[in-house]
Amino acid sequence: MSPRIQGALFAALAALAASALRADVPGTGAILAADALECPDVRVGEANFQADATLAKSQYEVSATRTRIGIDYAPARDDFVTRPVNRVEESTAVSLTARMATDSDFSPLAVVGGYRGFTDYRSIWLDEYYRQYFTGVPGYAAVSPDGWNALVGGRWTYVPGTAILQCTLLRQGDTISPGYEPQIGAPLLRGLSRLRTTQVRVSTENVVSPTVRTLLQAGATNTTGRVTRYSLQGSVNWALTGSLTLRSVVAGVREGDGFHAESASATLERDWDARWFLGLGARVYGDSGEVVDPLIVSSAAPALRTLDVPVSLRWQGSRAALSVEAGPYRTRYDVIPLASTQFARLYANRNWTHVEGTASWRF
Amino acid sequence: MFAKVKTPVLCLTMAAAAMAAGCTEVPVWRQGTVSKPNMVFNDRGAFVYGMHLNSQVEAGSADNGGATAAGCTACK
Repeated sequence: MSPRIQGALFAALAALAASALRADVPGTGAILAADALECPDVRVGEANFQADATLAKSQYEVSATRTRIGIDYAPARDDFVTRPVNRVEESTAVSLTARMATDSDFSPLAVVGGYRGFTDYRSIWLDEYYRQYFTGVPGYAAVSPDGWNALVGGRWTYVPGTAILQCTLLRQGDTISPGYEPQIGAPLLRGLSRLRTTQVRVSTENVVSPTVRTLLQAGATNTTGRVTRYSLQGSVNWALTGSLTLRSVVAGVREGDGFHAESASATLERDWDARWFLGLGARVYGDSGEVVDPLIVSSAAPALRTLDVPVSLRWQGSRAALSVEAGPYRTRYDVIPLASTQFARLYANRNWTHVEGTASWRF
Repeated sequence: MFAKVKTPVLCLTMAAAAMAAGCTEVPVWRQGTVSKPNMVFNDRGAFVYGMHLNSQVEAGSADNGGATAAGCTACK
């Protein structure tokens, strides 16, 4: 994303934030959120600010996110080339959303956004590994990751107050730090550095009884160099009693015969007069890994299983809401293939702690 | 298990579920419970559930595709 576009989005954010913070403008709001995910050798911190305003019945929203990722890079036991280093990367993402109101049951939706910087710790780890190994070697070129996205869609209330259907089409472009493969008597073989993604997503939300609300989401995503990814997710919110709610989600993803992932979560939440909410949840996730051939060198991830057990406390006021959520997050990989042991520290088992906090205001 | 299920079956299931749900109309005056803040599906604010930073680790949770989900495209 060019600095000019980024500047324009920041200007829009500032304008909407200013209007949101003026209490005399109805239909405006602001949200401030902070997330942290940490383990001894990886630290991820994210701060997000959103502001929205309703103008001529349509709602406009701007969002800015700043992410800071720190890793303690350490070479594998038999790696005598790379050296331990602490590396910190920061990235910025902005987006602008417009939800248009119409006289019918259909309302269009559009989102544009972009980011600059590394988006995850794994890409930083791999970038550091290739940088130390190949800087100065013909074929190596450092990359500054960035990306843009544009989404159009619509929301159709096909049973007023009860059932909603939403369809979206996303187009996304990413410049990433690629991988490299040495060749005898030739420059390095460079992996893909520019990716294009197209995604179609359909979701339907329904009130199926006075105590049950459901959400079904299905999507198809095609990214350069990959098989189309299909995803399906079902969510059920069930009010067990007047003050006890069970939220459950089951999801699955499949990418040809090469990759599949499944996850399930449940959160039990008790509330006091719909003002204070105390919740306890559990989420399990498992995937098949992305290693295609264990006999060749690959930085692809082996099969992964995770467990997340969050505890949450939320407060809902008449115009403001607060939440804090925290818990342990355990990640366990299968043993990495012998041909790829140089990536063993990247795919090490980790015990993380995650903390999230959010404050929102409506004016 | 999900890997065995064919896409057309999933699409049909989705369509059937959507249509079946649309057949049940709960009047607005009986929707007090399902309108509580922890009963709605919110994508923003204090009542968002689930850790979104898990896409840092879980390739199958990065459902927007792109760079995060395609880390492996860069390394094969």
